Amino acid sequence: MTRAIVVGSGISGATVARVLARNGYEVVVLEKGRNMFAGLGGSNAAVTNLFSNDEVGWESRTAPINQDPVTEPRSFRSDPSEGDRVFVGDVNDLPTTVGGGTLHYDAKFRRYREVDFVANSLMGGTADSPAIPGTTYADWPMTYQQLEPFYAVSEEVTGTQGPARMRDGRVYNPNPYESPRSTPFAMPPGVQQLNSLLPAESARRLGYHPAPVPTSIVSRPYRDRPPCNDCGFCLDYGCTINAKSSGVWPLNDALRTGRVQLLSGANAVEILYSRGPNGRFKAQGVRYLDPEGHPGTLAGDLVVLANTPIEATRLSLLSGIAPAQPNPSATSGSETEPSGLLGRNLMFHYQTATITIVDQPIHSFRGRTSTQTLDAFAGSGPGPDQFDPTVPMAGLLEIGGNLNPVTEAEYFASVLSGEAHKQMMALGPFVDHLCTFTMQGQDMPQLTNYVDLDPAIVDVWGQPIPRVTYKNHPYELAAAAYYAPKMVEIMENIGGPGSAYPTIRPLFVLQLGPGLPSVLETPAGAQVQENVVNNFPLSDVPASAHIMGTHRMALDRDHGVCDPYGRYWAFDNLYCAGGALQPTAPGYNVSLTFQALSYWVAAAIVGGVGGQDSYTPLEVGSNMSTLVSVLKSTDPDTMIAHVV
Amino acid sequence: MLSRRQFIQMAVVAGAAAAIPPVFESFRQAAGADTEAAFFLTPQRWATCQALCSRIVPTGSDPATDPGATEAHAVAFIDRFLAAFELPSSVADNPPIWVTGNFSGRNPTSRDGYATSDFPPDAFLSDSGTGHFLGLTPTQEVSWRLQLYGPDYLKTLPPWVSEKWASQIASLIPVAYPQGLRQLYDDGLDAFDSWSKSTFGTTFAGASPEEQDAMLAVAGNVVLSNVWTNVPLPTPPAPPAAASELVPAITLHTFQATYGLPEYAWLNQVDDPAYVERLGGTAQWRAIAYDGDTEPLGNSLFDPNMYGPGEGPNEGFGMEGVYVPFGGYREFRPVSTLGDSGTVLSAADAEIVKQAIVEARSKK
Repeated sequence: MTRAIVVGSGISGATVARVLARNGYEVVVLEKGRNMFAGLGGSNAAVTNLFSNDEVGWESRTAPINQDPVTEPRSFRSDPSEGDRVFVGDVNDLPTTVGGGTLHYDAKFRRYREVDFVANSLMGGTADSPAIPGTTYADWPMTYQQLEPFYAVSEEVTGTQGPARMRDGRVYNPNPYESPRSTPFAMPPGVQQLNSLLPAESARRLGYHPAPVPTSIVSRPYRDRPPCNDCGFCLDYGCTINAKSSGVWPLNDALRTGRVQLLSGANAVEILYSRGPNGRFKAQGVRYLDPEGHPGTLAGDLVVLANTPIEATRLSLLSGIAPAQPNPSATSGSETEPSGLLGRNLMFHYQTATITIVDQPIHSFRGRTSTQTLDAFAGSGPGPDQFDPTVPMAGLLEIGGNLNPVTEAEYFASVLSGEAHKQMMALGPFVDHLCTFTMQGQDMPQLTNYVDLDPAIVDVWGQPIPRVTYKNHPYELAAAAYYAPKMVEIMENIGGPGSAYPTIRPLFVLQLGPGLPSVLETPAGAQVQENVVNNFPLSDVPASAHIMGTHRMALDRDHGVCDPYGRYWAFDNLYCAGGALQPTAPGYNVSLTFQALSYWVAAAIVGGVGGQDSYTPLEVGSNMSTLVSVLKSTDPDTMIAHVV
Repeated sequence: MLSRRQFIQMAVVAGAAAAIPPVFESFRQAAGADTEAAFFLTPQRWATCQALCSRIVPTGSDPATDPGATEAHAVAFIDRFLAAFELPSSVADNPPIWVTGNFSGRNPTSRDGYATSDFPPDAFLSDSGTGHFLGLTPTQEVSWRLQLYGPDYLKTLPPWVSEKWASQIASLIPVAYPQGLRQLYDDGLDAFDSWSKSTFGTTFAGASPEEQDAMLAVAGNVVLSNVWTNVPLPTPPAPPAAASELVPAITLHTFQATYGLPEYAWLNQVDDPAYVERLGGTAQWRAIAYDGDTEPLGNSLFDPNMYGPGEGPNEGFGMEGVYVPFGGYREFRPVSTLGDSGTVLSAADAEIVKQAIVEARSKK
């Protein structure tokens, strides 16, 4: 039996483990963090968790599933000219736990559009001459149509609600900004929250087409899990009733095969490898540390890095696959990493936010954080024939937003105290009157945005920490500036002529940013956050949870770290899966694409696809039948398996 | 005219209310929930801390409907947090950093679209007064001990901790409270007391509410405190540094105690009916029209016999031959519609809110 080692148990690692195990592989999943679940390996209904509706533990304090920024810090600088670092602490920290970052997301589960896969060539760029100066903007090695079945199966396996439904025997999608789907959602949208409906209704009167947001939270009993009851504790919280469709559910599918071993508290620190007879390198296993630093070694026939783009880079650099600090003048890579691009092209999303306080109490604290989306600002599309290169590409608007009272109290504490503060709390402008837009703007890939190892600082186990070097490109700043006034216009139109909500009026609208690199200014930032190192200056340190790139996939080894199926070019059996592979960062929430890419990589491993020294688009196309047949045999009970 | 959906919602509210059993059947003082017992603060500092908390969130004229930090037992919250690693097992099974368990017992389960009379037990606090908290991982323990004990803890690190990491803490890896929270509180509370004595001739706890408010506002550099009243506050001289340094921490902890889960202050529905009630949450939450924890009931109830607007019997979702789940939602508490709780903001309120938000942003 082939034994695979998968590093990371988030939605990417869980998906790889699931596909491999369902196809007969023996799999060991290494997870650095703790396990908050019991009953894994049994039916979904028997899985219990340690989550609660707890503002203090999950928002006011560093959550128990999050990476600890003191014992496991990261460092940051925007440019090497600033020195080795300007900040140490929480830099893009995500949950480090069984199930990964999807445990605490609010589960907006979005596909990228057809144009997003080919935007560089639509704008006249090539692989060697990107359309946007100063970037490494590129087409993806696969098309939307090729990835579409993997989007569909991921939505269905994980459990996703959304508005696209069957009508007259065809899939009808009320969101005109999305690309064609071959299947409907498995269940309809759940209850819409008022602070999503208000801006959406306003946008509709202005000629836009908002729609219920596809969300990976079950709205109906689904695969032995109960439907969401809109408890109001979604973003930043683990779901107490298991309605949120996190990576733990594909992981549980994997564990149920009996061929998967989950090791939590196992911190992979080195990939073991040697050169094989064919000249390529061969991964032989992984060395890891337990929570108290005791080492362990696992041997395997293949290794898949499914941790975050930042941690996957760190692990490769700790293993000597590329230099710990890149040589800025190098024109190519090393024997083990020929592209010289490992860690580079790190991307986030450039967030631009608008907050509105309305007069009526609209209980913003209830619901799933955001239940409507407006995709009009992602750029023209969704098809190539609709593409206009002069229209800026930013991203979707997340519509809704909520805030807990501890955070509201902290925010106002910097200016109010005593009776005045209490009076403000009774009004509850954030807790009870808040509507927000958050635009997740497309972030340009740049060679100068990268992850390497900090030259001096170590974590609590003595391992070098990852360092993020990052600054924005003028493109995303300009796109944000272009759309920000339109966001304000929609908010100011709430309750205006013809409104379905004539009794509700916006009292004022505030534009947050643009100007901050991928950082949403949060009220929590106003005060000390416990066990979070004081951010200085808050606005310069990336905090985005949408982390992409560092392991760009490409058709050849000159243009990417990995081949179109996630394999490191110089290795026979070392793969990366998930968002690290993305060549670009389209302005949509990332987890679904991470999962679809992971399914794609795993299907290629199972199907024996790949292994070439370069590919043509035609070859990628001709491999599709193999990938799809793996999908059909792995998930025969899905809608997509009936369609493809 | 009411739509079918609105009608159903109204019916649900009535039906659900009928299905919920009478509350406050039995209240017992939980044995270990003696929130006057101090584990870290000296009596003098406890009094100062209590006085500070009571001005950070003051109690209104009727403590039952307009409680403050005093009713929320904020000082007990702080004392036990500072003694997190020294509490007897009868008080806390693990350091009180994160409560564990799913439900508080303030909300019942639901079935087929209705609330049941089944209230789960409070998973966070047992009847005997033992708080249930999550065990810490080795790294979490290192991190929280460092936060509480400060540099002293670096002398007693477990052997597996990297010496290089420990040596970098002071210079390269800044922690939120460099001297440790325990020292921060000891020094800060003492400083408030001595400042009050030299300024107003009495301990902080003995000063008048106006004098206390003035000291807090000056130490915290708060600029709009009399924004609603326009009543000028006394103007104490510059505060000692230790007092100013304590303000962000004690303010945060008082808010956590007051607006967070009451179990962090060893309060639940069985030991203070005036403060906490089933389905109504805490009095503090009611005063700000906030639900608090809502599970396992949640805000919407799934009803397999009901469909959402435009859904029909789930018509159109799913494909032939594939399992199609069906049913719809009732909104137990309004999610998609306006409710009758909360405060309507006047134009004057809005101006103050805007001024406060703009001011708070400019202070960053």
